[in-house]
Amino acid sequence: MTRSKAGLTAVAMTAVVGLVLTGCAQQSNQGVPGGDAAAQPAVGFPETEDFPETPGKPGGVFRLGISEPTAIDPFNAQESEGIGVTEALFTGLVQVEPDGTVVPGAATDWLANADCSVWTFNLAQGATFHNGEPVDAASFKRGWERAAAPESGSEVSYHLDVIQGYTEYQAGTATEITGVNATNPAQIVVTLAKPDCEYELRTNHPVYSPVPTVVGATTDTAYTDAPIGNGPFKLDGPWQHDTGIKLARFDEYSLGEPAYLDGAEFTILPSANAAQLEYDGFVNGQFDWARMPPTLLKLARETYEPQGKWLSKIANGMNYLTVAGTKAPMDSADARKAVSLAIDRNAIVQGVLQGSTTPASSLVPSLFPDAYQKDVCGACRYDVEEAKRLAASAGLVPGTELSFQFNTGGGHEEWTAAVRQQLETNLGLKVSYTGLPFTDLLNNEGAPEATGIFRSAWGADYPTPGNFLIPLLATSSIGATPTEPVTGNNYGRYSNPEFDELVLKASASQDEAERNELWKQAEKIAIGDDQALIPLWVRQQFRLVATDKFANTNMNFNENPTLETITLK
Amino acid sequence: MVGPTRSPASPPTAAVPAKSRRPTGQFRDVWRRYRRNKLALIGLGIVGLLVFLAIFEPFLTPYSPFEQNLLNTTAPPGNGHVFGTDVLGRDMLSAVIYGAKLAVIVGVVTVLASLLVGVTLGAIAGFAGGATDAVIARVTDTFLAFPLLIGAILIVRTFGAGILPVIVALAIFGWTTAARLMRGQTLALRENEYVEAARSIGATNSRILTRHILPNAIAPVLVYSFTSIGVVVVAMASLSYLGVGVPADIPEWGRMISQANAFLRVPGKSHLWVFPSLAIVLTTLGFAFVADGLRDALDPKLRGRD
Repeated sequence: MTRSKAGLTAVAMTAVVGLVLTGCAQQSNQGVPGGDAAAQPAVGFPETEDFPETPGKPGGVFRLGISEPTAIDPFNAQESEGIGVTEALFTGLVQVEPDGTVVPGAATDWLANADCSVWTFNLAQGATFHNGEPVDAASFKRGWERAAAPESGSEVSYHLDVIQGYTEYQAGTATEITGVNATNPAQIVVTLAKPDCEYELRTNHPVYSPVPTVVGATTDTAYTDAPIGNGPFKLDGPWQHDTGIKLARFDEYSLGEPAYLDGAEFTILPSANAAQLEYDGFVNGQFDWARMPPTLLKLARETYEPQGKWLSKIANGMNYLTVAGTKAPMDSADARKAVSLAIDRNAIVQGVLQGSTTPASSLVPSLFPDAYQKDVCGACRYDVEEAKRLAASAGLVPGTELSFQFNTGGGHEEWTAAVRQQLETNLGLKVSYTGLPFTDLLNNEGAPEATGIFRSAWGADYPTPGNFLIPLLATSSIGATPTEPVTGNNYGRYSNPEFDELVLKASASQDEAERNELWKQAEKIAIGDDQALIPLWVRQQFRLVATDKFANTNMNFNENPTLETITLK
Repeated sequence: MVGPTRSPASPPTAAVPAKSRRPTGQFRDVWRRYRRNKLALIGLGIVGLLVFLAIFEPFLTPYSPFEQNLLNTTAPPGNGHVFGTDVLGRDMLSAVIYGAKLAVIVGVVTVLASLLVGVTLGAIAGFAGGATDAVIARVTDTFLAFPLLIGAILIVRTFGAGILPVIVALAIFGWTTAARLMRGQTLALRENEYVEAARSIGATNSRILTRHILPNAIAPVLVYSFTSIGVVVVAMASLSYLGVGVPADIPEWGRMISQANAFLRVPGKSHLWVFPSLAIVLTTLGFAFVADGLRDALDPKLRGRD
């Protein structure tokens, strides 16, 4: 009996082994089964048009899931979720439409002096806070000083740092921000330490919100969980941590049309699988607006695009490779272009990223239509022959070692492995491939001895192309000598006087068209000619929207629903 | 106190004929009892298959486990890919086989290293007693108190991802049980009459340890070690699952499951996690069954019963 069992086992094993052995020689794992490579579908999911403006009815409560915000009090609102709540509660000096157009907010109009160092904002009359208190210049100054105070604990007060006197006030050596003049209640005059002809865009950040006289300390959680704002919505009860936030329409809102919605309900979800829970909630009717995990995009689109509930938008952000361009082997434009040309962005986006984004051919994304230059990155295409030619001329010969570092835990393991294999296959490079925690990655990137390429992403703080070009590429953004670690965001240590001059001129230009022209020229030099960094793919966002119940729902600059325009169907 | 007063100078080299004769009989006896256990035989089959896969991996994998095909990612089984393809279009069958090789190498090397350290320290502690024992026992306790995964993560994070750091990390926290078992066995055996007899005819401490105590004490330690190969395989998979084990582009079972995480809810993509999970389950079970069978087969109390 036992012997026969042993025999059976042996037979089974032999069978398995035999089965396995039949595939003895390794085959080539290339090509597309049942088709040829050229027949692959178009890459990614195209952008959808904004939902058309339709007359709608007031009423309804708009429901969505978010992760727990850091803060909903403007002094420290920072991530998309927190800003989403804060921008419904507060209206700053200016507002930015989903398409990037700047429109009046609490200020009816604004004007800069000739060198853009002094800005005058005229405030709308009759506007009040949710408690009935009038909104005047002093309430803005109060809000800004509250955030900038040394003990505030704000992580976003640096957005105020261009104002004259901020540094002294922040250091505790001054009793006020001297650059903010609020003596005339209907007018706020801001003097900048560093002239900026796009300063009004900065004031769209929630940290520039006004606060009433009854404002609590930034450490007073009873107040910071129930801040009093001047926006189209007010809180309907304080923030219930890890549970939810309820908003109700502010009927006396005068800085534009009052909202149509009766309210909005944010359900707070665990951040680890928020996207999945949002999607589930949308499917079962719990939410009216939802993100979804990248792997479910295809399925979600197939289901919801025919129903008109699918929203796809190129957003504010860019994924790219930082290049240590001052050190071999990447110290020539040809070497950087060779690497860029050897990366098959389409295949990675389609095969690895499930089409969740669109390959990039510029650094400034199409979110800025007036400064967007499609294909300004001439080497952002896939051309192995050209890559080899440039690599040879740049001394990037087969066998050259190239360091490639990325951060773990952010879902970058797979596509970086694909990039690595493409560089090894197409250029014969020997890629040393290292995943490490994000802070270590930044330290390595900024170190004076850094070489090779690094996984990076960037999103602008303010809706201007300059907020891509200057922090990432201007010499001033290195903030270090060649022997010191980088202190700014120009980790590649790109430095080109011609580029620096163009962006300086753009920042100092009051004419929007001229400014955009200068941004374009600057990008042409840094990306087109010098390939200072290697753009990979854009930031693209997808949402499901309950268009059967609500109309006029679009996505704003901070990737949140435009609560103030939504109407009931 | 029975301290190791003499240096272990003379390694036992003379007794070759006796060594080769005795185990044959013993082995036959053990095998007779082992094969009575059906699960143990299945376990042996699984372990045998794993070893076979590990040795012949380059000839058994239908594709290179590293070759990506971005035009054919997450394809379900079929079209020449028996287990389908993974998120980078790599052949899953080849990856699972390559994973078996990794599992066997890491499992065996880790356990051998743990055994070497554990048995040596345990035997010395048990045999020497006194202060030596106390010091070794405290060190063992310290390591034992450290959760395996957290300790291993610390080490791998410090020395960087890679197969060697994983082995070192798992061995550093894996030797303690072997040491404890060995110490207990040695303590019990050193008072035996045959030990005393050996001592009385002038055997050195090292000879007594290696020739008289070790052969009698090693069985439970070996059995334990065999089970722990399964534990090591799971620990390595856990490390990789958490993103701190082997480098991201090496086909490793835990890493494969972690890649499949995002696809758990996607219809038609279950092959991404089913096959590596099955591999881990089977491996763990296989080693556990074998260890179970070995324990029974080697148990002197069951000897002679039929």
